[in-house]
Amino acid sequence: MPSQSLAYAVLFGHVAFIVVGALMTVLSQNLVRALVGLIMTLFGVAGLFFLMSAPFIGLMQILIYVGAVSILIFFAIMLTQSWSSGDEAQGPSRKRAVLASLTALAPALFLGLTIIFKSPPSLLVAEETEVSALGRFLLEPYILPFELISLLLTVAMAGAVILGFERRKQR
Amino acid sequence: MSLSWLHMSIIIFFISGALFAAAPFIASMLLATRAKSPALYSPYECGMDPYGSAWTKFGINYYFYALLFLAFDVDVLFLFPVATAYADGAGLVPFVKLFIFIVILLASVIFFWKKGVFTWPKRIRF
Amino acid sequence: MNPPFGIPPELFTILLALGLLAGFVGLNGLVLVYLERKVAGHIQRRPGPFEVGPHGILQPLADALKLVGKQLITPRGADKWLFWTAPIISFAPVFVLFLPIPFGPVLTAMEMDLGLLLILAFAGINVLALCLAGWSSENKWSLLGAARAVAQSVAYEIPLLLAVLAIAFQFGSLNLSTIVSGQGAWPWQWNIMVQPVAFFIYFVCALAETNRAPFDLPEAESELTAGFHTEYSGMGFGIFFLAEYANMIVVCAVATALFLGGWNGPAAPGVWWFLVKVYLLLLVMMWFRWTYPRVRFDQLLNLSWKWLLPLALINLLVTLVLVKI
Repeated sequence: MPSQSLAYAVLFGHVAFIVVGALMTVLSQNLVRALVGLIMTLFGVAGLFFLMSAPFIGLMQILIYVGAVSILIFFAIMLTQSWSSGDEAQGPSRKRAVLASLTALAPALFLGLTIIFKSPPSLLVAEETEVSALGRFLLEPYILPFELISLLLTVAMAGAVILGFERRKQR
Repeated sequence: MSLSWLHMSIIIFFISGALFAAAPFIASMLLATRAKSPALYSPYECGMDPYGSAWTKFGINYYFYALLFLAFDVDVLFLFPVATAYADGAGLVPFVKLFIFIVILLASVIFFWKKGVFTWPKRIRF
Repeated sequence: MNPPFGIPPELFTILLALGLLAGFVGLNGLVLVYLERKVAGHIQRRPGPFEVGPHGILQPLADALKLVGKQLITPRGADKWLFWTAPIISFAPVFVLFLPIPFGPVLTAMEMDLGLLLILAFAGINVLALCLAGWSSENKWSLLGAARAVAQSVAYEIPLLLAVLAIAFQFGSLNLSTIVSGQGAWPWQWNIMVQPVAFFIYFVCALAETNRAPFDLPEAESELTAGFHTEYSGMGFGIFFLAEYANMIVVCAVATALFLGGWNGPAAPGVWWFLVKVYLLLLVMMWFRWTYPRVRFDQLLNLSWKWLLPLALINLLVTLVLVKI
């Protein structure tokens, strides 16, 4: 295992990457650039999962957020006119910016305080869980949530149908 | 917090991949010719002056496909940890559990196929 | 082997693997360019490149030099910053993809239990790069190519995952080395005999994911000029090309490990068997390219969502039954 000081260097590297990505997401005039910032943030968070000895969750983060969600967001951006010269490129008003940052800070503050005052013992000594152990959890005690996941797809597609396909038929 | 060699190697490999890709650009910057002409920098549109910006709105169909993909992706990825534990389970019980999962997936695929969700529209109206 | 200068042995292995891989990827790019042009030539009853060196063997080197010597042009109106990061993003994950691939019994950069997932996760980054390349060029062909690239890779990812899952269920592992050593030396002991449907689905999806003909719609030259890389000149195009060839190697290597017994062979198992199988698969990919006409966009999506997806699900169900019997 690499030395602890290297681990701290990697940690702060990841944190810097995440913060730069987040700032890019918030401050960028152009939505596609904002998306790149968001992807940077999500990627950095995957690295943090690795640091917490949860490589499986880290890879899932990349597969789902970087590989799928960001593509969805890209096509959502393609439905707008939001480049710096587009119709929707004006920034928010001062009041809304303040409210938005307060909304973002509230959960961060809450989570930070929780971790500082009520830290779980596993925080300092991370323990890696085997993938097969996770699989056993899904098959034995958490079987009902697992089965319900398969319904998620049906629900999502029903949403897609209602949003787009039914309306297309009406015309 | 613990740093594993796996994490270290991913970081090293990723960064060196980026450097490996950047090196030819630097070589190119040093070696390449430097011509200047307004026509050189115009976007390619079969030799004509480009008409309007390429940054326009897109059809919503692509968005639907991405949405379907996301839903499927999440479902299928949950099967990966289960795959490693499946053979250990005793008897037919794990099979029945997974059978329900996959049949629900299959049923929704068939249902939405019949609904025409998977069909790329021949003509797109706005 | 003791590493010099007091480097930790693990780090030494990583760096050694990195050096070997960088050499392999670069060399492989040259070999595949030559191979592809020769195969194309002979399929069309012409000799292919013939002038530079004996039988044109130095042609790829000349091509590389030419690409380096070309001017890097940023088109007017393009998002300059994104335009030049896109090829780098496209290539950056390539080395990571090789990390868990078992080239030989010892020749694996990193043994890990999550190898398959690691490859799948980092392979998804390429499509984002294509997206950014297409969008930032501010060119209509590029944008259309990018949209097609994304819709295509999105459609074929799911059957690919399901085909890989069938193997994962069969072996109860996501470690590629475990899967390889679970297969025998002779062809009838390989997974392709047990899972022919999964192999078929995997290979079709792999063709689509690497944007190879007959699924080369994102860069269809007869309709979109060059698709997402229309505006890239010189090395910009070169890096996309190199990344595409490296990705081809990766999908073929995964196919070899999952279905064709990896480094197992009838005599003297080792890295040569692995490379022989990988390059045979690559030749098949090239053969496909010059044999099949390009599919239409709606055919492409229908093939995946309407046929491969249900087929892959049924294949997975059958696998589940077979594992338990």
